[in-house]
Amino acid sequence: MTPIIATDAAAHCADWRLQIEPLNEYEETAIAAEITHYPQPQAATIEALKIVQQQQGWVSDGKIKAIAQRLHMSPDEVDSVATFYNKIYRQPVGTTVISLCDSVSCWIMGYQGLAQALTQELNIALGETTADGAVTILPTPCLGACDHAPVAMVGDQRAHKLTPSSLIELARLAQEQPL
Amino acid sequence: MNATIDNLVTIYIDGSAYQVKAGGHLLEACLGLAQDLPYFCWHPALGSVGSCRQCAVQLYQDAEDQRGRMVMACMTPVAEGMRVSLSAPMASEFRQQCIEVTMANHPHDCPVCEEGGECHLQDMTLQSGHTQRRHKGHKKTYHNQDLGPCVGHEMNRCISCYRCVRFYQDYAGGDDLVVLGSRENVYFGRHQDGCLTSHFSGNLSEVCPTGVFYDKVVSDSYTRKWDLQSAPSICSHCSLGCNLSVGERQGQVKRVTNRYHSQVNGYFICDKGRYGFAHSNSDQRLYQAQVQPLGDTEKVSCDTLHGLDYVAQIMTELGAENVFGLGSPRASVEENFALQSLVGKANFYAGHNAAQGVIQTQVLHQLTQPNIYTPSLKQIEQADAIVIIGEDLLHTAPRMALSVRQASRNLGFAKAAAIGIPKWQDEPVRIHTQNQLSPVISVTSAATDLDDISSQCIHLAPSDMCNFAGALASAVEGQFDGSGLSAELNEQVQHSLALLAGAKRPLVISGASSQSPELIDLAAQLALALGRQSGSEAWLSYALEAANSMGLGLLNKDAKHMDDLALRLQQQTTPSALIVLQTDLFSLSTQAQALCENLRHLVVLDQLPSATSEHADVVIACASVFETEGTYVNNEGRAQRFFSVHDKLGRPDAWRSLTHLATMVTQAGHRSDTITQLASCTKFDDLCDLVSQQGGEFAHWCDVAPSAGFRIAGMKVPRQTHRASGRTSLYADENVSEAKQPEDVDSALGFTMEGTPINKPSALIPQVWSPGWNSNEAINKFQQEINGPLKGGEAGVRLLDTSPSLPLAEVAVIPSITLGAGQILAHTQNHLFASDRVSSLSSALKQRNTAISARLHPDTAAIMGLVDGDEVCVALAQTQWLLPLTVDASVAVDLLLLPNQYQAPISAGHLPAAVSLSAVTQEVN
Ligand code: SF4
Ligand code: SF4
Ligand code: FES
Ligand code: FES
Repeated sequence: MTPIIATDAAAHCADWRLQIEPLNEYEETAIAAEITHYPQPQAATIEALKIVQQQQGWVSDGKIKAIAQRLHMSPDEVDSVATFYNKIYRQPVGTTVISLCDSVSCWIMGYQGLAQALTQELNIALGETTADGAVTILPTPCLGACDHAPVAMVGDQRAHKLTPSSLIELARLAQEQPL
Repeated sequence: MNATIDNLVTIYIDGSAYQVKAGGHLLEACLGLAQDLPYFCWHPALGSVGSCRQCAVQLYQDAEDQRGRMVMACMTPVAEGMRVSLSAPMASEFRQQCIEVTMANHPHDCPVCEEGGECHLQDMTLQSGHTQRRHKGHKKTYHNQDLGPCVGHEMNRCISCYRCVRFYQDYAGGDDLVVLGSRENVYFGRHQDGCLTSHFSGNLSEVCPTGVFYDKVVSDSYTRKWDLQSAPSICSHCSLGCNLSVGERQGQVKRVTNRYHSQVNGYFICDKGRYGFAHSNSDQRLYQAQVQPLGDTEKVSCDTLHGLDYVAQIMTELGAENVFGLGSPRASVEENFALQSLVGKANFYAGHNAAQGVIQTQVLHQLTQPNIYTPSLKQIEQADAIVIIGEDLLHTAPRMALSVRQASRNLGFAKAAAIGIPKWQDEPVRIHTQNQLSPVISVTSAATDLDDISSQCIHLAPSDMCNFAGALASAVEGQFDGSGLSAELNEQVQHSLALLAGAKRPLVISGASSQSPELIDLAAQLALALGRQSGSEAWLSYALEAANSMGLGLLNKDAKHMDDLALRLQQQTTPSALIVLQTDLFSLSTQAQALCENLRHLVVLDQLPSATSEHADVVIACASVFETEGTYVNNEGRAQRFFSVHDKLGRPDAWRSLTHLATMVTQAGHRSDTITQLASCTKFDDLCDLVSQQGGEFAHWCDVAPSAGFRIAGMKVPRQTHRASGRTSLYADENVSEAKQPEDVDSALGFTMEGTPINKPSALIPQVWSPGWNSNEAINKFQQEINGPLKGGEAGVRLLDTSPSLPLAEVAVIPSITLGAGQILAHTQNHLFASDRVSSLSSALKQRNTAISARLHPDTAAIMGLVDGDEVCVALAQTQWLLPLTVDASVAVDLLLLPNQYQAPISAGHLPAAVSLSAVTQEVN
């Protein structure tokens, strides 16, 4: 008699460790340094995600798993943190990300006009990246600068009191940057 | 209600005064008073988080205050003199608006939703008064994940109450179901598609108030709750006796859900209990008797009565003294008792091997000692320090693992209580206590799923576990000198001692799976020592082998087992016959073949074929646990009754076959007292009366559940709901005229929809329903108070509490295992979803059986020249088993762990044993 062995179990319960995209040397060292700051390695999750994103431009499924292994967590737990923050990108983005604030103050001060001008100029919709990979536009909730509304983040710079033309100007500059 | 006057407070709800328990919150108080107040995020076992805003009520400053302010009932502690209104327009309109927003994205797909008709969201929506959709915008749609064979996922139906993740992560310790995203865009699922790994994942379908997480097995062969014919049942898969509600349609068992018992399973069961029912519908079932007359080479099918007649002839021919019976820890007390009465006590043996037999008498002896108390699962949650020795609970007593997990939070609850945070304030308690857990010391042969909450994990071979337990017991008594123990073990004993020092309510858990009677004894010594140290009764709990191990033990106090029977048969000079009840001799002992050769006749009563039934010359097909009634005695000695869910097969009860047999044998001239008494039983109640006449632990047998004569307003308790449909056409393919509803003379339940759906005794609740409460949340209408006993009292009877100390039966000493040259000690590694015949028939569970392998410590593997992934050959006597090897640093050294797999060449019953182990050399050419 042969024992009954489930055949499709493997498919359903595939070991995630086999799908890890290994951390590069820099990521490895930087994350290790972060871990030393906390009593629990899990506390370094956000920093680890930032480190990987800084290196790769975004955080892939394979890197989520690599971080999970490094911090003794499940990939699900890491992904839960990663997807909570809208500045951690779980899909590839352009070299420059323009985050356009769509919360109440900016809405009142002209968000809709900005969005229309920008999408028209770059010929992409919100959430999309230009074909040359230079710019991604993302809507974002309040950036905490309502007194300067309407506001956007262009790369890591905050741009205040935008008008359609000043925003288009910034977008053009971004597109001219080397990829 | 047990509350004493001084912990009651008076509150005013819409002008009327009520007395409620102090320390609780308003929602719980209102529901306890049978008020209807909607809620989503609060769950009686998970506590309050105040996130869904559905339980809003108006709270007033004092009698003068006419305006009041809105508060969430689930977040508001009750206080003396508190005045609230559920009906105030402000609160009721708010609740209505809340639902309206919640429903804005809801797909309204009730007709095709698995939850439809028993949906908490439907019930609450209606209760809130929101009946018209005004929102005209688009709805969000989500991708659904493949979460494996047991749990389905339909994310569009989500109302973001967070119950799923709070159950899955916080309560059950799972780490692969999370909330993803943020704001209005949250998603409850996994990082990627894949099978949920928690052994409690099935509870999601009951915890989720909507149809996001649903029971996939039910969905594959779907029936609405109201169309199910249901009966109260008891899980047959382990010794804990979780209460189940089992539903049937057209002769097929369709689903199993949790049935609340405040002391046993509470609101949750494990996935084996929920999905392990397919055996009853299996096409492998035995439906007919089979007889193989002497000299013939094949069995012929016949009806049960002819089969029994043949057995009666055998019994008459051989003489009663030459007919033996082998009972089963998987069969009910009544079935075992009937067999015992038929063959006589002297000829009755338990379907145990020697080690299991000795363990059985040890367990009974220890649990009836005057200073030892064995707690219920609910009480286990109150322990403030737990030592687990030799049980991988998740695989042998899963629901107990869940209780241990809750107990580990007691330190946190106490810390929070010290600064005035009540236990139900879920989030503040967690923030205040962070990772601090009550001590759990886990001593097992390899890593277990409880390691993440254990303060100390020690991985030892069973013989070292005995040394450890003995040393720790003497250390607790202050008599430990450490001699004879390795330095490492010494250190571990000291560490445990320190962890246990302040415990006020310590508990020791052990069990049958290490197959070591000595360990059972030492666990009791440790419990007694800890009891003395803490100045309280010693708490001790054993996980036993099967659903009715305890019941069989009580019937068979002299602990006679299969090996005794083998010896007796060897010495028999006259031809003999053996009647085997639901046991496969071949998986129990390597001596099965020899035993069968000493028999003239082998009679098997079973629901499924086995190696034993293949050897038998008579096979009597019998009912599954869902088609008959009976009683299991769980690991704490609680006798609990299960009832037949349907009678499509015409009730082939094993107990009834045995009473028929008694009648036939009596007519042929046998006149032993027990046979005559058994022959006089025509109904199940007659048999229960006989059992109770045994006295002792069985004296209150008739209190286990109401007898068949019980009526409410002159009517039986209906198994069908009052709105069951299709009654006239259900079996129209067989006969166009509607058949008469079958009668049930054996229980107070009827195969009918007539009768009252409420006020039932606790043991007779087929499924919960109350007007306006169609989901299982209706349970609050059946409880005396939230989380309290059911209104009809606790079902079942604890048998050991009043039992005098039971002496140790005189049993043969089990020879210790000696290792020959090149041999290694092999023990069993249990696998919840793979260990037995019954779960092998559930395709959902079979798919969740992880890949099997033998496991060894790296050092041991290195000495034997083996590496991870090697194909190895394990040899025990003539048997060989080829399987892959996993090298695992958590396994104790010098120990080989073999997976407990149904139909494996080496089964759990053959272990522990000395085996030889070698790499399978690949042929080179
Ligand atoms: S999936 Fe169900 S339990 Fe989880 S948040 Fe959504 S509605 Fe609540
Ligand atoms: S814990 Fe045991 S009794 Fe409870 S449902 Fe699971 S297998 Fe059944
Ligand atoms: S609303 Fe745009 S920055 Fe606050
Ligand atoms: S039940 Fe009170 S806020 Fe959800």
